[in-house]
Amino acid sequence: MNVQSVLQSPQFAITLTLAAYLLGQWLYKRLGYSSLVQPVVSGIALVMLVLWLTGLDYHYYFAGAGIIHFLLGTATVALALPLYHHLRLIRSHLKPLLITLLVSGLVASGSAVGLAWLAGGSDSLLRTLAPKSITTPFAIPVAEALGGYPALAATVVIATGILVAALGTPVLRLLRVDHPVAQGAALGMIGHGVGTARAFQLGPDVGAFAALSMGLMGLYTALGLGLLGL
Amino acid sequence: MLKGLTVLLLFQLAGLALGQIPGMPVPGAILGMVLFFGYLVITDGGGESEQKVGKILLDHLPLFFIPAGVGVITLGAIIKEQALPLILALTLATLVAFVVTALLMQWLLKRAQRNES
Repeated sequence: MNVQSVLQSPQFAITLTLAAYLLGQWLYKRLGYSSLVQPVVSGIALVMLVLWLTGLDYHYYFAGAGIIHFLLGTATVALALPLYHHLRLIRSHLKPLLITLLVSGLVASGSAVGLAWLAGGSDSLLRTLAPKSITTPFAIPVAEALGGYPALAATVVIATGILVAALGTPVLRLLRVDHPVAQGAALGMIGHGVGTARAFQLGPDVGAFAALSMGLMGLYTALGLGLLGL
Repeated sequence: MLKGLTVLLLFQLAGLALGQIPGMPVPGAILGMVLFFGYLVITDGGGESEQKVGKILLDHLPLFFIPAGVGVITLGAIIKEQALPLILALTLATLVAFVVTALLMQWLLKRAQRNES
C-alpha cells in the first residue's frame, strides 16, 4: 500500500476539508456560538493539524482540494443574490453607504500599508497588505498585479476576516453601534466574506448589507489600487 | 439544481473572460458577480434553480476559505522576518478601519433619519 498516493489524492483533501468544516460547525454549536471557534478558524486549524500529523505537503493538499477553492469563485458570483434581494434596503441607504465606502477603503488600505511601513515592512509586504480588507478571490490577483506575495495575501485577508468575525460583535457593542445596516457595513467592508458569514448569523438584513458592502469594497479597492498601479 | 449551477458557472466564466482584457483593473470573480447581478435585475430575480444553488453556496461560505486559509503554514519564514509590521497591520489597522467604518456609517444613518423626521 502506498500511503503517500492516498494522502496526496483529491479524495483525501476534499474529505478532510469537508470533515474539518463539519467538525468545526459542530464545535461552534457545542461551545455556544463563541466567536473564537468560528467554523472558518476551526476548519483551517483542523486541516493544518492533520497536515502536520501526516507530514502531507500543503501544495498537494491545495491541489487536491482544488474544487473547493474553485467553488469560492462560484460562491462569490452567488453573492449577487442577497444584493438583489435587498435592493430596496440598499437604495434607501445609498448615500451613507457610498460616503462610508469612500472613507473606509482609504482607511483600510492606508492604515495597513502605513503602519507596516512605519514598522519597517518590506516593499513586497506593503503591496501584499494593500488589498487586505477585500475578499480572497479579489485580493489574490490584486496583490499579484501589485507585486506582493499572493499566497500571503490570501492568509492576511483571511486573518483580517477572522479577526473581524471574532471581535466584530463585542466591538460593535462597545461602540454602541446598533443599526443593523451599520453593523453589516462594518463587518462586510473590513471583514469581507468571513465577516459577511458572521453578519448572516446576526440576521438576514445584516448579512445582506455585509454582502453588498463586501462587494462594493472589493470593486472599489481593486479598481482604486489597479488604477493607482503603485 | 444543475441548471442553477450551470448559470452561476456561466457568469463565473464570463467574469474570467472579461478579466483577461488587458488593463482591466478588476479581477474576474467580482466581474462575474456584477454580471450575475445585472442578470438578476433584468430577469426579475432569475430562476428558482439559481436561487437554490446560490443559497447552498452562501450557507457554507466559510467552507470555501479553508484551502487558501491553510496556506499560512507555508509562509513561516516571511512571517517570522516581517512579524512586527505584519502584526501591526493585521491587528491595529484592522481595528482602526473597523471602528471608523462602524461609527461613520452609524452616524450618517442617524443623521439621515433625523433629517427625515
